[in-house]
Amino acid sequence: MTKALCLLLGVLLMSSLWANIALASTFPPQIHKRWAVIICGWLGFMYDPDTIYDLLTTQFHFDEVMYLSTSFATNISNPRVSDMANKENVRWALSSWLSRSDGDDLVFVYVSSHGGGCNSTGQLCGGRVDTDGDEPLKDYWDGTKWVGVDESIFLQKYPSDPPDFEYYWDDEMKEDLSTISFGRLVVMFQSCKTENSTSELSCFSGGFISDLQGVNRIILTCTTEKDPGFGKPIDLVYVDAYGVPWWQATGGFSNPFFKSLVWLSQEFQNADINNDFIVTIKEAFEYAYSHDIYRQVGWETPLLEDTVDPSLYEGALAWLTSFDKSEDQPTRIPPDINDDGYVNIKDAVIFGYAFGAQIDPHGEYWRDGEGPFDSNNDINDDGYINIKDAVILGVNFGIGLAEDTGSSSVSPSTKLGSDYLTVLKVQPAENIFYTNQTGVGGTFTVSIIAENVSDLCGWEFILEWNPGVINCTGETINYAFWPYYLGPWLSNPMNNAEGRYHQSLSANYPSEPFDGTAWLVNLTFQIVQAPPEGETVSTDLTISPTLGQSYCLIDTNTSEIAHTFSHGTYEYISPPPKRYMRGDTQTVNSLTAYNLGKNQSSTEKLESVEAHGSNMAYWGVRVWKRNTEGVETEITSGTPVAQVSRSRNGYGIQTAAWDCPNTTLALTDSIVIRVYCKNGRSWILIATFTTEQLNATALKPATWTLNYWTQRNYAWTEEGWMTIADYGWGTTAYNSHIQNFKIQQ
Amino acid sequence: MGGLRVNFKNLIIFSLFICLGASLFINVFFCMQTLDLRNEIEKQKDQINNLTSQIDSLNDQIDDLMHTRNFTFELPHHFGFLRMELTFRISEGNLSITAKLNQTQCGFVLVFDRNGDGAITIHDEGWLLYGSSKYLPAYVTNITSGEYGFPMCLPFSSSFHYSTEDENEITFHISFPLDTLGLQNDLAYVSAEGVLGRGVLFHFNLEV
Repeated sequence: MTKALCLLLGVLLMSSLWANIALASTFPPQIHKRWAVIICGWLGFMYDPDTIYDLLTTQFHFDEVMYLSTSFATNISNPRVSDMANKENVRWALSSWLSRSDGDDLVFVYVSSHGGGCNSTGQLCGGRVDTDGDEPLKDYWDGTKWVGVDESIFLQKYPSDPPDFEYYWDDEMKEDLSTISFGRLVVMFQSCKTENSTSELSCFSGGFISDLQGVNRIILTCTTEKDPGFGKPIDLVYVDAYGVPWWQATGGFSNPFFKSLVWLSQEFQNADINNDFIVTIKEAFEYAYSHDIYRQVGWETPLLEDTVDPSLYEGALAWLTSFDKSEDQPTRIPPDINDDGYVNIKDAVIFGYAFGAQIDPHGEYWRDGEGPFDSNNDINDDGYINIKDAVILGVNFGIGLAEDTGSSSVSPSTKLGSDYLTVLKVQPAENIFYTNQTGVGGTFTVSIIAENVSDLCGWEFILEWNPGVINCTGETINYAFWPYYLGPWLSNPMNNAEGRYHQSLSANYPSEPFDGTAWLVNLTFQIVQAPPEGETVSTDLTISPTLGQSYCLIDTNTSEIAHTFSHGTYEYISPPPKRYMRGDTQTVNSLTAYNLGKNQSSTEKLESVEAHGSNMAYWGVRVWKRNTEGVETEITSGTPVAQVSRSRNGYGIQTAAWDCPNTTLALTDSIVIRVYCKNGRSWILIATFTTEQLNATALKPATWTLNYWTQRNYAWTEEGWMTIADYGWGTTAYNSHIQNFKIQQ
Repeated sequence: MGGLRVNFKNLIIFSLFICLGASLFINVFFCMQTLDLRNEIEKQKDQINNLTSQIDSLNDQIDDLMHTRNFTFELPHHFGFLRMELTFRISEGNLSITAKLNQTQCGFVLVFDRNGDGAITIHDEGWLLYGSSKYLPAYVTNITSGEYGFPMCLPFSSSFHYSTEDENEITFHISFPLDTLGLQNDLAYVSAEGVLGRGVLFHFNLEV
């Protein structure tokens, strides 16, 4: 038995190792040769390109470096520069010259210049209206609709006033880079980008992300699409052939970024979070982000984009990429303790139970006689598994490696067929609200419940909904599982723009695992979208695990606890619109008739049709639209529809349906309804009803439900035995009305 | 018997002539003297008018001096030293500044304590002024080192300054409406592109 168990564990261990090796060996690709294209498109920004050129050539020893600079325009003596940074050369360098790179090469593109786009007040500043639909931000009003705007890089021809430059569009850069092969592509933008504007500062470099992001690509920008980027003067002055000095500036973001790359500098040591003497792109970005003084005062926001999967946070690929040569490239994401490519709840659980351990003289991590614990838990490699490591884990929580599979996450529907004792569910499962009871802005709460769980040491889940329908406005986390816990691991768990909530909590030593049923989180949602009249807005509330996992609950061994997913739904219903047959009259489009209004009157009306003998009594309606000229066009086909009948004596509401077709209306048209009764051989008009001028463009196709108050009496009268067919309307007692009367405003 | 006989009648007539002559003489004398005095009075009036004009002019000068301050600074610079000659003047609700720099191709940094916290910090938006009436917002990030930052955008057109330039110097002519500046004190910081280390922090000593 023991041997069998050992064998099983061995197989599992080998499988796990094989999976890790397979992941590591296939994705992301390893780095072989390193290429760089440095573009300085504006004369005042040569300091940063010079700095990175020197670093790449003298410290990192890149295999191939192409430096294109506008300094050629003024014959500035700069031995680093290969050629003029005009559009022809730049396009050639990013396509033809880089075409020699292979699928296991690192390609680095650095851009420093001004540029253009659409500024925060909606003005075109060196941008152009997007025509291929690849700009997700529709921020420019072209006179008829909101459209996206292509961003550009300015390539200065010659320093002059007004500036003389060429536009290098984001679509062109996207096209050029699509022709080359690489294992890792790093594109970095520094310097601000704006055309001369007196309205609002903008830089636009963040706008390149939507064009350039992709698998195995890392995009770094000094700021967002709408914010300005800042720099400062530097003690470097170029003097051109005419003796004119050109002052240089360095970027608030790029300056600390490059400083952190300088081997063993103080900045290098501070940036090297895991003390492995490699400053990765991730570490350099984090260092530059935290040391960017303009970011600190909220003026610019450097961005890192390295995954195409929206369910993953940025940083995993950047952790595995540096400018170092192939043998010095990082091989593991430091906070990814179990090395499965994702920093998630499994790592948190492993970490939580190693918390407090420290290294012994043999290089092993122990805590009060327990151990040894995996040295990967000591993320910053300082000999202690402590809060410093927890901070790094927390900051990186949610990052992961994802190939472009076309799917953002593991589809939860594939697991719905499974039937496990443990259930992770949304409660209440149905969240139904009506517009006449709950207005937009109203709130409701759902709980995420773990039912019949055992050995629970951590949880992490994603709840998704259709964005724009509801917003998640509050979370209440149940911390009562464990007396000691780590987390919540996501500091910004709610993403209403994407319609996603992502959160996680894990046990911390010496807590015991949890058994039983309990709620994990209570989430408050706010209704933000009203349904059209008579219709429903709905969304699923779908629980899913994070990428790389099949389930959301983790046990002591960081194994996933298999469970069934029980999702929820939300519906916001506008009840079918009604039109009441009222007892008062109105004149609309030259027709005086009873009012077909939105609420019932208190004027009782009763009309009778009498006929000899015992007859079946029928009631029905015909429908017209009527214009201001008094011209009526019948929508029904000449005979009453939605007929009800009585063959025996009786009274009360009777209902019948009629499919109203889509009917185009002029804004001043009204709808006229005539109620007919047949008591014997022919239909007799009982009453005519008219709406107001509807100010609508159409009657929407809908199934109307006609509610008639009818009565049949077969009785002896002075004229003999007669059938008396009554029709009543105008009060709640004679509540004749039409349901689902839908119009298109 | 003959001898001088005094005719009393003649004596009276003679005396009357003498008196008349004396009277005429006196009248003529006083008439002449009155004319002189009138001339003198006119002269004095002219002098008074001149003195009044001079007093007015001096008052204007005093008033002018009370609202104008001049400063000269010399700062270490890439090309030796930078001499700044600054004139601050408040007139008709405007703060006018003239800054003459002995370097061309040199942006002029000007920052006021806009938020009135008694210091020049990154939160006080200033200006990096260029020639051709262009500028960028400037922010002093480190008053000790003199480091300042600016949005790395193309400079904007300015409606509040212009510059004149010759072979060796550039002069910025700047004018801000005081109510748009909203200054709460007279603290200012000036520097320029190419200045080594910090610029100058000073009070320009005008009532704002």
